[in-house]
Amino acid sequence: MRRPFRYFFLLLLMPSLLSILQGCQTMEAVTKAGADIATMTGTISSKQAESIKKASKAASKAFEEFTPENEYYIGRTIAANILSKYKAYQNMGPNQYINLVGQTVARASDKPETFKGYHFLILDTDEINAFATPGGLILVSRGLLRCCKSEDALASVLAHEIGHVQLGHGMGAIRGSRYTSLGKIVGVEMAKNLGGEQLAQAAEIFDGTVGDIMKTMVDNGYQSSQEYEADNTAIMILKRVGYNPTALKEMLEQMNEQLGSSVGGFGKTHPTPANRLQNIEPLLKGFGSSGEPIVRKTRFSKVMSGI
Amino acid sequence: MKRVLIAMMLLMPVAFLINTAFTAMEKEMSIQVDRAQLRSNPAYYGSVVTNVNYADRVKIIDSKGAWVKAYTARNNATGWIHISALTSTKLAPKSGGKNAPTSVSAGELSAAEKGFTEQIEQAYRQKNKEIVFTWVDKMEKIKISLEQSVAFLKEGQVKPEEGGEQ
Repeated sequence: MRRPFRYFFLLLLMPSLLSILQGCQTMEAVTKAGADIATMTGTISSKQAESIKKASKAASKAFEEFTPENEYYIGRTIAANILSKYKAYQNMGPNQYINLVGQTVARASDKPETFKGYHFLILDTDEINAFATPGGLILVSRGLLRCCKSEDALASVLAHEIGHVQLGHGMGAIRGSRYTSLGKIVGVEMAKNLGGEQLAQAAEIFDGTVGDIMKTMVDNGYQSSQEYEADNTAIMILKRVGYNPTALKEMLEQMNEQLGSSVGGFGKTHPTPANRLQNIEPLLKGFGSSGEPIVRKTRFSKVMSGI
Repeated sequence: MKRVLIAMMLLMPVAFLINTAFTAMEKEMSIQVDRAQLRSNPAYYGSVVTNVNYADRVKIIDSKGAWVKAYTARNNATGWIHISALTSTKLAPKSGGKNAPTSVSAGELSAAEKGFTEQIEQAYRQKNKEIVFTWVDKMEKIKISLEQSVAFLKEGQVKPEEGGEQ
């Protein structure tokens, strides 16, 4: 009599115990998620979390203060500014194709979700250059695309730019004082829309914010270490998607050849291809040269041969 | 046997209380991107179960790496979503948005929600007429769906590694 009763007792308690355990698990997951979101607006891999935590104070501030929607509006304005300096390449075939590759690759990044997603556009210039704006609007020059001799190489260029977005390099260029000023204005205003004077002030801070990022992104370039980080991220993403990461190496070798005749752009703002090659070398162990299937080669050359 | 009975009677309410406490603390989060999907499995190319919109509240059920299993009352559906789409902050649905009317009053809005928004872009464009947004709008219209991505990879014989299963 005693033994069955003891089992009955345990059985009664079981659902409660199970749900308590489940509750603990959920709580732990949520705490982890919440904390990570708070610090970096949604990138969670431990390596990325660490590298972001190590990043400048301004960067961590940016992640705390700005929502994906804010990033989106900042990014739009920066893209519009760049598109006032460079013309868009209006041939929609290649534009559609780089979006197929780019948006597909972005899904495997540590920041697959941005406010309105990743979008890519070709700049009609021989200059070798690319710009990744916050929020995921990415502009790539014809000059840079000519360094890509395969779909895998194209994927490596786009993954490098996605890396800059994921790592928040653009947002990290915003000066800390912008947050303080913005906080003072919007904090006192209760309505959803800002009133006249606050709006003017906020617009002025927005100008400054866009200026901070433009200065870094277009004029000075990111720090060398940030370019290396973007390369490392690109390799991680390429491996996840199933593209051969060696394609980044092949692209850099092409760029090295072509940079000689190019003025400005990457040559001015990026570490040399030789240094970038040295940085990625250890990550490519075990990967041979990219022997792509014919179907992939064909679709690439069909669209991109005229670039 | 008497002791067991007493223990059981004492323990049951305690277990019940703890259980209720955890249920009460069950966490909800908000969708912080314009539009996102709940997937059938925690994978980059996992198939879509349902769509969720900005400011939708979802109930967190489980997590695996950067993926969270969430329940949405919108379509009474459960699925996996990447953590970059979520925030702990309660957000106000966009006016005219699919999930309006709002349950969040203007006063509850975070500073960031009032910060750099469409209103500021309009002010910027008024002041900087030489900056043209035409191609920015055009590039945003180029959208590749998850299904297109999966088909594109398959056609090109690109095989995603574990975690990317289709």
